[in-house]
Amino acid sequence: MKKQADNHMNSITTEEVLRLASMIRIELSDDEVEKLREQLGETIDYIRNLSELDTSNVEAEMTKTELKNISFRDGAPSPRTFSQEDALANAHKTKDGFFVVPKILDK
Amino acid sequence: MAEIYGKGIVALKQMLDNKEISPTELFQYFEKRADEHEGKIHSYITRASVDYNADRPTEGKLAGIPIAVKDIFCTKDLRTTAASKVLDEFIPKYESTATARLIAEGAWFTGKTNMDAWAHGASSETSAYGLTYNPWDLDRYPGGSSSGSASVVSAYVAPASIGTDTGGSIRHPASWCGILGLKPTHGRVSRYGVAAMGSSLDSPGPMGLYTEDLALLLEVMAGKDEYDATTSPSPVPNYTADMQTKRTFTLGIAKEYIDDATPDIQKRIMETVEILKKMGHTIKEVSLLDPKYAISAYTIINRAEVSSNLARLHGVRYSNPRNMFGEEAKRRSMLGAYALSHGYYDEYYKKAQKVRQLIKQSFADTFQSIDLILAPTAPVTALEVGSFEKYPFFGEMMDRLNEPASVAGIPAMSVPIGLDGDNLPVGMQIIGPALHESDLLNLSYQLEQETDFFGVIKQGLENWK
Repeated sequence: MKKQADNHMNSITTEEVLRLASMIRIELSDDEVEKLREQLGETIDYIRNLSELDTSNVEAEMTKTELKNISFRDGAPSPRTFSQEDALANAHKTKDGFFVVPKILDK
Repeated sequence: MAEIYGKGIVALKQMLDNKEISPTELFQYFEKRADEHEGKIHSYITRASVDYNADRPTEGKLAGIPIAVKDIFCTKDLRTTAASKVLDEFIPKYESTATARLIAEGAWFTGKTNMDAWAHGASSETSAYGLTYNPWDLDRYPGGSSSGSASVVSAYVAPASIGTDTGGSIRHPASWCGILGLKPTHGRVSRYGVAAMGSSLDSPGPMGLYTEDLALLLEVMAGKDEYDATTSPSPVPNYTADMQTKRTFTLGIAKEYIDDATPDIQKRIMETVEILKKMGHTIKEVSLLDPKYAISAYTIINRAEVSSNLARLHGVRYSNPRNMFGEEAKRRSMLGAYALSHGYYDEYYKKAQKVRQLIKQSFADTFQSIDLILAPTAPVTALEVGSFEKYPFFGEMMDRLNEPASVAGIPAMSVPIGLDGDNLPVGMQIIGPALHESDLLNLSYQLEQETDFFGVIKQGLENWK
């Protein structure tokens, strides 16, 4: 159960860590950036072992089920449909029956 | 009044049916147990009251039976946090399908159990609400991520519980806490209303002290659900009836799985195998793909699905802002974003999907010549609190023997097979082909009848009497 490689320091750069943080909409402190760079590097080094397996004849199937053509009927009545009141019940800020969202555009 | 202590839900149902006790009295018994022991084990994030359960149906397979629910299932009007501050005040306005089916049969809920936040982990260490402790040794982890659902049953603070298993989260804590836990086939139990971790992996399932209790809970929860398109249309068997007929199986043992465990665990497995032989089962050595590849495929697929599932929590509709995510959720989302991003997609995500096919094929080939596979549930028994920090990638290392079945989407169960040199429970996995839950339960029931799970359940109950 030990680390597979010791050269993880180069697996992922600080810039990449910051780019990933912005992709998932999270702000990180400097300490977190460094810690995550190291931890993500270790994991990435480990998961690279998949390259040892020959998958040239394997299709990348994205679903595991044997199910086909499963869909909701359009407009089907649903006893579980939310009322407007229920839909808004857990929101932090609402106005006139709407969610209030943070401003994303500047004037 | 007859003794309640140590009875499973089937036996308790008998007491209720005989009017030896009322549902309220039974519920209060477990409330009292929680009052006495929660300070030591910390199984619950939120406890439920008699009032909350007031409107339950009085008829049904589980009428009046108290059950603890992992805090990942949305329960209408009962706080649901997934052990994260992001959902700290979330009061669902709808019921998950699995819990709705329990309610429809009259089950009462004792409360919502602690877990690793978003089910990310194998110790409860990532919970925002503190650690859960192992009833076998309060200085040790209960395992996870269904940590509270395992400890609550192990200390008989609830007679049974439900959890979810994405990469071992039912089996692993069941083995560390000396109880039974079953991860069904992916799609056997609906994921609707369960906070999503890895959607192609998440499998809700039962945990308890007796095989018949798991059979009953699974029977109630399983089946097609129009709200989860991945649920199987295959009819739900009568698991309780199926397990009564003793069947003989050809059981596979894979060196790749046994070698990974401590000598004590290996010894317990081999002794169990000898007993199974004497009981008339055939044992056969098989070879499976090395679990180290399943860990990698699991990690990539899981992180990719985590990053997309957690992306919906933007603080507008029902959650707190994203900066309240804990460290592990950030780490997983970032790795997922990495594996899915331009330039890395083929190398990681697509490759992992292909390896998933290899793993499925490896199991399918093996099940041509055997009925079930036996393996250790975990490579080690319960670790001491604090050891989390010593393992990079702790959860994956603890779940390394669970993740192959998860990636393949097939059912697997953990049953106790004795204690190791430190007097800690050892769990054995029974792994079967898709939708063969009946076979798993049948073998578990035979072991229970023959060995009483090597006295583990009795000893665990003795410890908390």
